[in-house]
Amino acid sequence: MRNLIRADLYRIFKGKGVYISIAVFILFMVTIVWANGTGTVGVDVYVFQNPDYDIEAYAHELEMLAETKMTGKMAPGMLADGTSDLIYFILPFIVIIAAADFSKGTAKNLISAGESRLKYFMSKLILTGIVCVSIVGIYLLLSILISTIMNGFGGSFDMEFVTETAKIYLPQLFLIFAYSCIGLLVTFTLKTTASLISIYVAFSLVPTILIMILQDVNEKLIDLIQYDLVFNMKTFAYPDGAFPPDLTRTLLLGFGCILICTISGFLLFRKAEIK
Amino acid sequence: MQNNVLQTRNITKRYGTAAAVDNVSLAIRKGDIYGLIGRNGAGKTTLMRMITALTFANSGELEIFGQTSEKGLNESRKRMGSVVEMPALYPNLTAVQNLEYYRILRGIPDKNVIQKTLELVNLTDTGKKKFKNFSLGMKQRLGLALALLNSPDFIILDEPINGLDPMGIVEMRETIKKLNTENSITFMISSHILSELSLIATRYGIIEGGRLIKELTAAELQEQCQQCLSVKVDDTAKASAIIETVLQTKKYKVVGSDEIRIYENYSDTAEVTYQLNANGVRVSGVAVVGDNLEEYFVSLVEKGVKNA
Repeated sequence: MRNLIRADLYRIFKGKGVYISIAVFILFMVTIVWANGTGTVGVDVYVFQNPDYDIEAYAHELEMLAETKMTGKMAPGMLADGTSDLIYFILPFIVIIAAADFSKGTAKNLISAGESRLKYFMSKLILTGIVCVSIVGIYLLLSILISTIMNGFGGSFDMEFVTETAKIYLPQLFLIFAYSCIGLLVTFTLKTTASLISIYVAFSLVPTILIMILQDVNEKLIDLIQYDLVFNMKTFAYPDGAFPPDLTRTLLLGFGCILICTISGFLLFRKAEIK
Repeated sequence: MQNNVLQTRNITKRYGTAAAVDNVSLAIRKGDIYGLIGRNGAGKTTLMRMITALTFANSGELEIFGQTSEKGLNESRKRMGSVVEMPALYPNLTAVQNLEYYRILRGIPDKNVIQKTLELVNLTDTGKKKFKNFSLGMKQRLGLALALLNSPDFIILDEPINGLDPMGIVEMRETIKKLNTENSITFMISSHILSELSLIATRYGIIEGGRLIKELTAAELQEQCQQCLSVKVDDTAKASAIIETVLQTKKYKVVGSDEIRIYENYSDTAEVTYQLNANGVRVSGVAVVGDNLEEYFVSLVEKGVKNA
């Protein structure tokens, strides 16, 4: 399996796709840090979902935020809401890592040469995990680095800062990986890049929209949103938000998603035809 | 000692109710160049896809290098190279980069293996040209290079001359022959062009409608396709003596009690008939018989269809 991962890394870095994706990602990072990353988009959801929220206090908060320069120390907290957007930056990597093998037909070269399907599947899973860690890591590092260059670090780099950052980003990273597993499941089941892209993107939006619509039918159905992966990612951006994050639920949700996607993905791939 | 490289026993693959491969049992011995001949859609590629684990049989047993278990088969496939359907490599990588990817993947420590393999298939001068810009012939050759990368004992090639120009066909044929004789590599090659396969194959399997309708050696095929003069006589012993002494040929065969087949010096039918009659042998019928390769293939396929 180590050889599979090494070979894929060689291939990925020999192609242009990875450099284009990284360049677009860095541009995105610079743009959002430059725009001072107020993270108000995430706050909006909680404000409108919580009737007890003091709208005047919220307006005051926004004013304060607008006046605040984002320092390196503040960056991880202020940009945490955007972490859920990273799933879209992981998509091109899933295409390069896994979907390309099926669309180009190169998967057959490995399988016909006696490579175990389990090892092949697992190597793609591990590589996707490495990509998730790298993307979240780069997001965090770049946000701290760029805002430090712009406005200074604004404090000391202490253990508390590390712990607070880890509290926000580790659960988010876990959920991002769980979400990526859905991409792998689609890839290994349908084996086309188009279906991967459409289902992957749709899955980030459709559940939330559906729950919002269902809410009109029955208000209690809004609780379903707690089982939406993207919602959970956003929740961890605001540990003190209207829906405080429930670590147990998130862990169960993430584990469930990873397990279901991995097991069903492999079982479907195990006896699948390779074109 | 294991002499069969590949053996299939009643292997069947169905898509819905239609059998793409139907109870095929064949054996490929070490050193063979096994030609699998059949029309388009006869089941050649499906059979090869089952051997290379790209699809699975509904029933029957597959044995490669003596292994039949799933794990054993996977291990055996590591001694194989294959190009099934079109060669598929990464379009944005060069020939060297593509082979380097598979070298790392297969854990081959010797980096020189790439250059050596490219030399074998005459593809050393492609430089920075990407796979997507290769001609079909170059793609076929790089596909063969990939199959050769791990020094396999057995190579499966699906229609390797498809799309090649005449020079490319000759080169591919020579490369296969060379690998078979010098490197002792066993080949299974599919084609729908019997005349092309007949130039390299040592054994043949003819497949039609998913069924293996005939297996024969190169010598048997040559015999089947050799034209001769069939003479019906009343006394085969006497006729044999005349053929040897008067017509001065030993290339003849007695078939049954009243037929002799002459494979040499038979173009003058009148002379053969006259000499036999003149020496007291009664000739009741004379005919030139025997198919050329294409006719033989067509007749076999037609028989196969009728018997299906």
